[in-house]
Amino acid sequence: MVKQSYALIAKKYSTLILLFILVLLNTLFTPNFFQMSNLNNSITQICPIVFCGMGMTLVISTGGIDISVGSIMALAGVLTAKLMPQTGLFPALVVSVLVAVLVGAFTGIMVGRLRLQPMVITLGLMLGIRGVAQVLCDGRDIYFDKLGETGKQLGLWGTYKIGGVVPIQVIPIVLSIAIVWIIVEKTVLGRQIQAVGDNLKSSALAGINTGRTMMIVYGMSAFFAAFAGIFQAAKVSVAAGSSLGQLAELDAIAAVVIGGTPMSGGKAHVFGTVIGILIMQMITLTCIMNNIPEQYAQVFKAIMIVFAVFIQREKLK
Amino acid sequence: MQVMKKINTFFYSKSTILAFLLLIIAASIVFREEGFLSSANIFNVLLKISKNGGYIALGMTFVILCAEIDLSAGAVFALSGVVMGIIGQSNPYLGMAAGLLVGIASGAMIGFMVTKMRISSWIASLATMFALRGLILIIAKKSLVIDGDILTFANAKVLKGAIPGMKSGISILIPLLFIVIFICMYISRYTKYGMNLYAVGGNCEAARMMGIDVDKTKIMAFICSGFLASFSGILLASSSGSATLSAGNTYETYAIAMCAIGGVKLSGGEGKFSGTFFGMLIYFIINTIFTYLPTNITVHWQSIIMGILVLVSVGVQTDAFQNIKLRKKME
Repeated sequence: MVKQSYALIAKKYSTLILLFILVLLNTLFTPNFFQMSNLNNSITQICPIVFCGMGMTLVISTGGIDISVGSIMALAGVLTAKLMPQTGLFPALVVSVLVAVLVGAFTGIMVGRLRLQPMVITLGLMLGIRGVAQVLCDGRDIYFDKLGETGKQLGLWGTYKIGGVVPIQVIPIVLSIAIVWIIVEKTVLGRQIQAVGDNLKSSALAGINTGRTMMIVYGMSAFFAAFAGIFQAAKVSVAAGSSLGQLAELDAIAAVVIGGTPMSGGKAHVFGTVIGILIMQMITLTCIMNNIPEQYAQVFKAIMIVFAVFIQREKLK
Repeated sequence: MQVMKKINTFFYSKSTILAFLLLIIAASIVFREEGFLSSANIFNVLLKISKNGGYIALGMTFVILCAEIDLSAGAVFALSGVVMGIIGQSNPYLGMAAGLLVGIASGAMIGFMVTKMRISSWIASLATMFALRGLILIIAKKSLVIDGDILTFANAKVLKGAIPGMKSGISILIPLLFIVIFICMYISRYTKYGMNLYAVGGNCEAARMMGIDVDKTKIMAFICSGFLASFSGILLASSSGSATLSAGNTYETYAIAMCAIGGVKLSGGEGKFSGTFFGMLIYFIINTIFTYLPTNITVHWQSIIMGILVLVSVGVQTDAFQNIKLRKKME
């Protein structure tokens, strides 16, 4: 009996244990692992994935999927860079985030009201919006240092360090995790999201406005994706329509699933997703710091993702 | 009323073919001076389908029919070409076999992860994609040159003089494409495996209770997808004479889009191979049209048009709007 409960606990915290083991192995075997610069680098690197992952956690817990986030990242980044010189920084930001949210709300209406498959809708948007982003920037990369004062301002969003030490990305990361956690755990909306994911029909019969719930969820996913795109562009000071946010949706999905949110929906593990993101970052970091070549790192990453998902998968009913 | 309903269902079920016909007619009128409807151009489109990963969409249809997804197809496409380039240096036919084996093995691996380890096919195929892309860079440092017997096979011409306007014959790849499509259609319609495929995709639990070996069906579907992806990769490598390392990048996305345009339901259990074929035709005809357009219209518009097509095709093919009416009535 006691043995079984140990097994259950081990299963429940399996991803956390995996993360712990990874950190432990790194402290033992990787030289210069515990350094401030290392931590700061990690924070700036995981910023876009955290945003996308938070939105994706909500979407996947409704039983859907949103593969358009990478393209929305590109659209938001390019649109901001395009508008900035004329309108100034904040109007440009507001417009591009608004456009992204509208796209998300469109997905939500299609999925929630018309009951179309989220996979197809977001696939169409993924192709279409990537094209729009590329047409907007004419297939060229927009460099921020050529945009004058506003370009420098936005560049600061990616490079500024609070007190000269901690990167600015810490604030939005914490904020986004907190917002999504509060929504999922403390609000009626969170309950509704998970109910919709569990059983759409019965939750509609129970009086939940499923259309509205879907609209909010996909709108939020796009909202987070837009900020992810802006922060990512700010970090490298370039807005590139073709490469910005490429494969971001797949990284986000992998992080969410490693975190224990089932693809079939009905449950949202916000902190699980955070752990998933940290595990992925840890794997990347381990490979880079031990001078493992990129191609071997990719194989290693693939094996670790499969392993992490394997140890925490749901029991067969 | 009855007639209206019949017309309605006709438009729903044949919408892909109608879209295809509309596209052909419009394109042949607009581009009649460039010779859009000439047999040379038609064969060119078919050649593009067989070289640039049209087969991936066929393989993807197998996987989607049983309600899974395969993101690794593009990587398999590239890896099989590279493997053929390396092993084929000594014996070209051994190289071809090895390339095909790559696809079968990766399909079997994904199938094993999905069915036995119960990992979501998204994650399983995504991880496979990462691993194979890494593997390509491990086994080859730069693009490979392929020559010898394979080149003569892949660029062979058949049906010399049989088709008017094509005196030198057509490439062997075109009849091959039709043979593969007919095999796929035959499997899905007239074999036990095809029936199982639809049953598993429609309702996995019900299929299990009926005594269908769900795991085997899914593994076979992934193997089909891997096999067709590697087949396609081999055809591209052997007909162009080189195996590039980054070949097939994002092809899986376009393959899924072709399936969606062709009316294959991504939740599984519904769709036809003929639909996928028309989806492939539509995609590659649009692709060809862009070569006729003036250069100031960038190729990026192609991706926008594909996106709109996917959205419209989903809107037309599902009875979503009728659903809303029905639900309103019930409430």
